[in-house]
Amino acid sequence: MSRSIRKFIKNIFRAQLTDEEHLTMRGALQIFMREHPLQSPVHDTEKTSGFSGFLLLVRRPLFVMVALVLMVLVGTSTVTYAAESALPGDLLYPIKVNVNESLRAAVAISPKAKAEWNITRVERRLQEAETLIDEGKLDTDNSLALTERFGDHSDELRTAIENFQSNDDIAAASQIAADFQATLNAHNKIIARLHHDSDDESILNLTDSLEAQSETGDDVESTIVAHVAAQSDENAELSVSNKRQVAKDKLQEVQAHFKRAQPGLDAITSAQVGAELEQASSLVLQGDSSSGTPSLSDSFTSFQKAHRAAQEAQLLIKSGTQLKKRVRTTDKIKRVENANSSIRIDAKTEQKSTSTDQEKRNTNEIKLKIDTRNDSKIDL
Amino acid sequence: MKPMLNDESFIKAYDSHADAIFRYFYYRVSSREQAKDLSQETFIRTWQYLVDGKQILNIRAFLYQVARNLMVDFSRKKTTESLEVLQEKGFDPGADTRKQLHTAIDANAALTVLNQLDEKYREVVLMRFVDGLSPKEIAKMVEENENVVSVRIHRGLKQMRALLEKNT
Repeated sequence: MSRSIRKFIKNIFRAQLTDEEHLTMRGALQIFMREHPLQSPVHDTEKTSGFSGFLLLVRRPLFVMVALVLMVLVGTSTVTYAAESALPGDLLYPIKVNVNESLRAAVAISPKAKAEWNITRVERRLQEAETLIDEGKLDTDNSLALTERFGDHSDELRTAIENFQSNDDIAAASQIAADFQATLNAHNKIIARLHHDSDDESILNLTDSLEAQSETGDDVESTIVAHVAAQSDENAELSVSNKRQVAKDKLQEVQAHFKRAQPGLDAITSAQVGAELEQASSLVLQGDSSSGTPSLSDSFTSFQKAHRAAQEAQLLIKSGTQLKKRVRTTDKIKRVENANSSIRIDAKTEQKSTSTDQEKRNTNEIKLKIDTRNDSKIDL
Repeated sequence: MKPMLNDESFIKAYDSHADAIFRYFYYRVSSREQAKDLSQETFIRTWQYLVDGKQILNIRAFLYQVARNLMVDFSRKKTTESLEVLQEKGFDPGADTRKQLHTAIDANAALTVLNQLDEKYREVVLMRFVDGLSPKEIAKMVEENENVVSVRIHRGLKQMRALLEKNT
C-alpha cells in the first residue's frame, strides 16, 4: 500500500518545461554565462569518505585524550575488544563505531565487501537497539542517535547499489539490496517481539525508521528490476538466470540450517522462519513458472523476493538462538580524577547465558587499571 | 579526477535539472510563468556563485538550496495556500497527462489530502516525491537530521493513506 501511495504521488505531480521553454531558458542562461565568464575552472569537489569517522573522532579533544591514553597504556587490542560490546551511552561506544568499524571498513577492499560490511553495521545498530530494549534502556535520545547512524549506513548502501547498477553489476546490486531489505524486515519482527508498547516514542522512532528505510529499499529494488528490463535480451536472461541460481542456493542453504537449528528455536521464531521459507519456495516456483510466460523482469522480481525471504529466514534463525541469551555489559567508571594525577577505569564485562534446562553463568572480567601517576604501573 | 565545472558541464547540469527545479517551484507558486522565472533565477544565481570564485560540492544539492532560498524570499505563503490556488485555477498535472480525466480527479484528491497533512509532513513529502530529493538532501535543506526526515516522510505517507481511505 505504501508503494502505491508513493507511485500515486509521483505519477500525479509530473509538470515539466516544454521543449521550447527549456531551450528559451537555456539560451538566456548561455547569454548570461557569456557576459559573466568564469575566472578559472572550478572543481566540483565532493567530500572524500574513508576515515571521515576517524577524523571526526580526533576533533573531540576530551574523548581523544581518554581514547589515546587507554590505547597507548593499555594496548589497542584490549580497548578495541572491550569496545565491541559497548552500547550507545557507554564510554567505549565511540571507539566501537568510529575506530573499530572504520578500521574494518578499510580492510574491506572490494566494493562488494564494503557494502556487505555496511549491512553488518546496520545489523550491529539494530542489535544494539534490541539489547537496549531488552534492558529497558532505550530512550528517545539513544533511539534517535542509533537511527541516525543506521540512516548513514543505509545511505552508503544505497550509493553502493547505485554504483553497482552503473557498472551493470546486477548480481551485486540485487544481492546487496536483498540482504539489506531482509535485515530491515527481520529486525522489525524482532523488535515487535521485544516490545509491545506501540506508543513508546523511542520504539516508534526505531520502527518508523526501519519502515522508512524499507520503503526506500523497495524503490531501489524497483530500479534494479527496471535496469534488468532495459538490458538486452541476452544480458537480461543472464541476470535472471544468475538470480534464479542465487535464490535457489540461498533457499537450500537456509532450509538445511533451519533443520539443524529448529530444536533450539522457540515456537514463534520457528513459525516465522517456516513462513518465510514457504514464501521463498513459492516465489521460486513463480519465477520458474512457464504458464503465462512471465516476463524476464517479473521472473527476476520473483527470484529477488525469494532471495530476500530466504535471507530474512536465516536472520530470524540467527536471532532466535540469541534471543535466548542475555548479554549484559556493564561499564563502570569508578573514578576520573585530576587528569594530571591518575585515571582509573574499571571495565567489567559479564556474560550470562541461559538454556531451557539450566542456567549457566560465565563471567569474564576485564579489569583495566591505569595509573599514570608515578611510574605508569599497569595491572591487567 | 574530479570533474571541473565549466560552461559545458554547467549547461549539462541545466539540461539535467531544469525540469526538476521547475517542478519544485510549480507546486509551490501559483503561476507557471513565475515558476519559470524562479527556475531561471536559480541557475543564474548558481552560475554567479561560481563566477565569484566559490566552490560547489554538489551541483544538484546546491541548485535545490538556491531554489529553496528563492522560494523563501519570493513568498512567505505556506504551501497550503499555493496548493489551494492551484486547485482553484484548475490543476494542470503535466503536459503528458492533461487529457486524462481520471488523472485530474486523482490530482484533486491528492491535493485535498496533501492540504490536510501536517505542515512538517507535507513539505517533506513534496520534496521527496515531487522534487525527487533524497532524505539526505532534504535534511540538509531543512536543517534536520536525515533520519528525522525519513521518519517524517514515512509518517506523512501514513497520514495520507489514512486520509485517502477516509475520503473514499
